[in-house]
Amino acid sequence: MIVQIIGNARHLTEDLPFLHAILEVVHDNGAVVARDWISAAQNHAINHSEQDDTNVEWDDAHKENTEAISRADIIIIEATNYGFPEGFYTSQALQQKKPVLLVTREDIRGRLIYGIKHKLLLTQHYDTQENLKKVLAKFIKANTIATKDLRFNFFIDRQIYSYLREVSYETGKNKSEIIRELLEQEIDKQEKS
Amino acid sequence: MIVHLTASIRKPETDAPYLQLITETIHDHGAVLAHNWLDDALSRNKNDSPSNWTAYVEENLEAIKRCDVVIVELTYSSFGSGFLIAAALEHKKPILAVSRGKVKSHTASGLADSLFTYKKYTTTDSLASIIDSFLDKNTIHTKDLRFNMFLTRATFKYLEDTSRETGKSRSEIIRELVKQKADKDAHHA
Repeated sequence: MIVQIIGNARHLTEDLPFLHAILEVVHDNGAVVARDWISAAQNHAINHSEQDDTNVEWDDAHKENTEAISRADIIIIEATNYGFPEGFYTSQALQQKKPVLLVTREDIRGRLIYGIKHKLLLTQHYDTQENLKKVLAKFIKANTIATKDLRFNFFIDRQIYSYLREVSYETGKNKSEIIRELLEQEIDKQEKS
Repeated sequence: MIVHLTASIRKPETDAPYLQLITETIHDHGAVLAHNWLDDALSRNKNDSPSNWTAYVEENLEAIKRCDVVIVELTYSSFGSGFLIAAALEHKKPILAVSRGKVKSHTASGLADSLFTYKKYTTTDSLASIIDSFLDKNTIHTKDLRFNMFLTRATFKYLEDTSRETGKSRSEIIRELVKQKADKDAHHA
C-alpha cells in the first residue's frame, strides 16, 4: 500500500518526532511512502531556518505532492500546525476519493477544519506518540486491501446465469472472467468520462 | 456574473476595508456575490466563530458550484482557503487570489493551473485595478455571443440536409448538439 504524508515543514522541529512516528507505523504495516519530503525538509533545515523558504521551488513541490496524492492509496495529514497546504491537499485527496486521516495535537473543535464532513475523512486528536501510533495503525488496517485476489460471492438470477453460460461457451472464457471484464470496461468508461 | 469571495479574517479592523473594496468593485461590474457572509463575519467578535462550521463549509462549497468566478483574499492564508481553492479548481472556476504579503513564499504560488492567478497588492488602488481586470477578463456577456467557425464540405452538407429535414436552422442544430454534449458531460461528472 502507498501512503502519502502531508505535514508542515515550517514547524519541523516541533513536529519531527511525530512525523517519524507516522513513518514508523507506515513501514511497520508493510506500506511505503509516496513522496518522502520529510528527509528533504530535514536536510534543508541543516542550513536554513524553518521559516526560510526563499529557495523552495514551489512549482516542483506542488507538482510532486499532487502526483504523490494521485499515486497513494491513503493520505495521512499531520495538521497540528495546519494552514493552506493542508487544506488544499485534503480537498484534492477527497476529490480523488482517497481515504484521508487528519491527525492533530490541537483541539480543533470550534474551528473550520472540524466542520468538514466527508465519508472518506477521519479527523482524530492525539496527545502522545503512542496514542498517534494506535490511531494510525487502525486507519491503515481499515484501509488495507490485500494484494492477492479477493473472493466475492453474489446471487444471480436464471436469466443472467443463462447469459453467462452461453457467452462462456462461445468465448471460452469462464463466467468470472466475463464479469471481471464487464466491470473493468465500466471502470474505464467512468475514468474517461 | 456571480462571484464567490472568500477570505480568512484575522484582523477585521485591517481586513474590512480591503474586503469591502473587493465587494464594491464586484458590484460596480454589475456582478453579484454568491454568498454574502462578509457582513456577518465583520460584525462578529473576532474570537467568535460560526456556531455550525459544517453548514458554513457546505454553504461555501455550494457557492463555489453556483458562481462563475472565485476571488480569494490570501493575505492570511488558511486551511479553509486552501480547501476552497482546490474545490474551485475541481469545478473549473477561474480563481483570482490576492495578497498583501509575499506571493512567492507560499504553496499557492506553486499552483500551475491556467485557471489560477495569484497577485500581490499594496494599496486599495492596486487591489481595485487587479479585481477590475480579472472581472473584465472573465465576464461573459448575457446577450448572445456571435461565434464563427469553419466547416468542412461534409459537415456543411450534413447541416443543410438536417436543416431541411427538421425545419431547424443550422445554428439551432449545432447549439442543440453542444447542449446535449454539455448535459452528458455534466451527468458523468
